[in-house]
Amino acid sequence: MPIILQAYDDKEFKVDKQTAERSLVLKSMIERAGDSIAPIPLPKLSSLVLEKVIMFCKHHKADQVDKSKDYEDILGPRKMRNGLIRDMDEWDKEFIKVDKDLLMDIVMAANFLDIKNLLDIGCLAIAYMLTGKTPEEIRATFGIPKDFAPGEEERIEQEHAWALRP
Amino acid sequence: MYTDTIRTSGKDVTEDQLPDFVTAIQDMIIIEKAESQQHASENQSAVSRVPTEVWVHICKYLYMSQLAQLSMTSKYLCDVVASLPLWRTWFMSKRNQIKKLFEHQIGRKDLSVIPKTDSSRFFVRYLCAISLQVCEQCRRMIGAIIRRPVDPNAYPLPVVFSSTMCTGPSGAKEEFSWTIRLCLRCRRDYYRTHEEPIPHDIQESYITKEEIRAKYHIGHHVVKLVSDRRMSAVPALGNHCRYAEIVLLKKARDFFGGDVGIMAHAIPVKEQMVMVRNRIDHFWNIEIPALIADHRPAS
Repeated sequence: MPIILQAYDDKEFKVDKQTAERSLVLKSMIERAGDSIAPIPLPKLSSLVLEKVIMFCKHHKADQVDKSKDYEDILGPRKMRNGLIRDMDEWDKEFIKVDKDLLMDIVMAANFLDIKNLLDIGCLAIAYMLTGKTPEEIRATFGIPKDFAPGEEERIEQEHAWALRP
Repeated sequence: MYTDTIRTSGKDVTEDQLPDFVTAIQDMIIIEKAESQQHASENQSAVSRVPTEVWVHICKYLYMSQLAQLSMTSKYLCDVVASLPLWRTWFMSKRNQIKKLFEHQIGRKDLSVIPKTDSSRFFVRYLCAISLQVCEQCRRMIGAIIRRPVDPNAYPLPVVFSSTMCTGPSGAKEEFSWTIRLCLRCRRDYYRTHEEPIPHDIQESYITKEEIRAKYHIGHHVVKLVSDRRMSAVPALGNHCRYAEIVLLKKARDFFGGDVGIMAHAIPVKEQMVMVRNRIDHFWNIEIPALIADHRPAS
C-alpha cells in the first residue's frame, strides 16, 4: 500500500512502505496508523528537498537498518585518512553533489525525519566543505555573521593561535 | 458565497469568470507563501537555520585544528565546539599523564580538583595550550612530561593533505588541501601510502658521507645499507665513496617521517616549544587558579 507524503507546497509523493520506513519518524507513524494511513503532511520540507530525500530512501531501501554503514566508525577523525568522501559509495557521492543551500536543507530534513545514513553523508559533505578553510572563508561560505563582543575575538584567537599557524 | 465576497471587494465579476478568478487568487496565495519562505531563509543565516545537534554531528568529522578554526567564526559556533564531548574524553584519557604534569606544575598531588571543574572550556583551553604537542590523528601527547629534550621530529609536525572532490551541481573538480599536525608514527603511516615527489636534481646525484650527514642527518647505520654506491674517480679529491642520493632521500624520509621531519631535524623547533611552554605556563599560573576559585563551593 503506497504512502502519500505531502510537501510544503502541497505536492504529493507516493512511496512504498519499505522506502518510507527508512525514516524512523515515518516508520513509527506508519506503525501507529496501521493499514489506513492518511497522507502525511510535511510542512517543513519543500518538494525539491522531499524529492531528493525520497530518492535516497528508495536507493537504500534494501539496506538493513542495523547493518547500515556507520560513517562515524569508518571516518571519525580518529580513523579518518586522506580524503573524507573516498569511502562513500559512488552513488552517495553523486547524490550529495548539490549546492550548499540544498545540502543544508537535505541535512535538516534528514535530522527532522531521523534518517541516520542521510544525516551522516550530509554532515560529512558539510564537514568536507569546512575542512581546510580559514574562519574568514567559513564565514563567507555559510554566511555566518561575526558577532563577537570586542575583546572576545582576540581572546579566542589567542587560544586557538596554533590552528592559524601550521 | 464566492460572489458575495467578490461584490464586497468592489469588483464586477460574472458567474462564468469565477473559476479563473479563484485559481488566480490561489496562485497569488502560493506565490506569496513562496516569497515569504524565501525571505525568511535569506534573513536566517546557515548557523541559526541548522539545529545544534546537526552542528555537533558535523563536528564529529573534523580535525581538532579545523574545530579551532570553526570556533573562531562566531559566538554560537564557539560554544558548540567548546561543548563537544571530545575535549573531555581526550582529557580524561590522558588523565595519568596530566596528573604527573599537574604534580609537577602546581606541586600538589590532589587531582580531585579537576573533575570538579566540570566546565568543558577547561579542557578546550588545556588542549589549546598544549596543542603543539598533540597529534591530531592518534591524539597522543608527545613530549609533554619528559623534561629532557625530545627529538624535534618526534613532535607533531604540519603535514599537508590534499584531495580533489567534486563540488556543486556542475561537478567541477576542486583541488583543495588542508594542514594537520601528525606525530612521527602517523606521518610514517601517511607517507607510506602517499609518497612525496622526488626532486629532479637528485635523480642522478651521488654524495659523500659528510654531505649525507649535513643534508639528511642520518648516520653510518643507515648509510651502510645503501648498496648503490660509487668510488670517486678522481684520486685528487680523496678516495671517497659516494652514495646514491635518491635512495638516501627515501630512507631519510622513512626515518624522519617525510620531508617535514627531515627539515624539523635541521631547524630546532625550539622557538615553537618556547611558545608552547609560555602558553602552558600561562594556563597553569593564571587560568587554573581562576577556574579553581570559580568552582570552589561558596562556603
